Amino acid sequence: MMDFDERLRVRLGRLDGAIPAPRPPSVSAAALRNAAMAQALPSRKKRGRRVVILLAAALLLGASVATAQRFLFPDVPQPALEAALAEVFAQSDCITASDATDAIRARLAALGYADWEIEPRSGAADARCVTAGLVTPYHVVILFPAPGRDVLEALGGVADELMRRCLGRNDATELVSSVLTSLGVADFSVRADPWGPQGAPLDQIDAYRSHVDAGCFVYVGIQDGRNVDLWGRWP
Amino acid sequence: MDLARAAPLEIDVEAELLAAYPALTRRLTVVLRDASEAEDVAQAAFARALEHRQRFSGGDVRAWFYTIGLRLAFNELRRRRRIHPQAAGDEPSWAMSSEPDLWIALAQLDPPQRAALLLSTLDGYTHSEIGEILGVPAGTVSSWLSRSKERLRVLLGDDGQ
Repeated sequence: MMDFDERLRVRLGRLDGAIPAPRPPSVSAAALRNAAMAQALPSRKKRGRRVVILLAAALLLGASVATAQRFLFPDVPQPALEAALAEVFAQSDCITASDATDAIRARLAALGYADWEIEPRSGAADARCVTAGLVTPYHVVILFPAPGRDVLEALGGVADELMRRCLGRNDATELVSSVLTSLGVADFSVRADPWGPQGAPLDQIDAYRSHVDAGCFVYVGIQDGRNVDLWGRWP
Repeated sequence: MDLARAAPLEIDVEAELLAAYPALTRRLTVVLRDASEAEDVAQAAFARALEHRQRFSGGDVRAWFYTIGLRLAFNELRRRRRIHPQAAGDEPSWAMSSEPDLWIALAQLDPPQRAALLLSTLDGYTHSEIGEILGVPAGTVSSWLSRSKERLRVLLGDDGQ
């Protein structure tokens, strides 16, 4: 006779098997890889910024494409347009949606992409800074909130500081808040939640984990250009 | 950077991510209790994993992918609680036609406990490995699993007969 654990395993397996099969990821892994490698970027930071653009497309493909349930154009790499976007965002630490729209529209026209549209996503119009991504199947350039290079660099300093010292939840939160406030960033949140190291640099993950095990909070990323994530021990 | 040498490693990671994608989506469906939202979160996790794949230092790609996906799911649940506290929707037909009482009973567990139960029961991860994925000590996982199973046993009326 099966014990409860075994019966539960069988029933969970049955439930698991009934879940509808998901559609494959709607971003092409090969396209993402090829695009990321297409230009030899000299540093991880620059490569990271480039991939952020591609990531945006990936994130938004899910929402945009799923809503309309159709693809209008082939999802093929757009190296010329990606290079043009990279150029727009390389010119400033922080660019508003309005300025980005003007600059991108000019480059779209110059490249002969007259049918492409520029679409600000939720929160982008009022964001301090934006970045952009391509949704190639719709011929859309989306704008979405981003922290800006100055904030990213400051948060890099925060990450180092939190690894040098051992700050608890409140002190770590205050440190992040004071740094962002000093940069003139008003609309942000600090999420000192305990859900793990996601976003922490994997080549330092052991050091991060040891620091957290010692009761310290560490910086593990920023999302949506305004939500700073800290990782600390489970309360 | 020697792309010719780096490429095979990247392809392997991507292939493993793609292979793990359906399972992650199914785990997220039970954790979030919404197949559509689970697909959105899995999609975001896939993109984020690709973004960070250069920093993946080896080991269990699936566990790393689960870590990213579940973290995003818990963030989504917190956001959902703020916007729609106590929101309840129709139960999905696929759950109602397979294991309706189990599906409803699982709703009584906290999302991290649901996740731990799935990772243990369906994926075979140890308590220590689940602790790594969820960012909690192994002892916490053991406690969650014990309490979850006891709660389910009561809710499902499973008295061992």
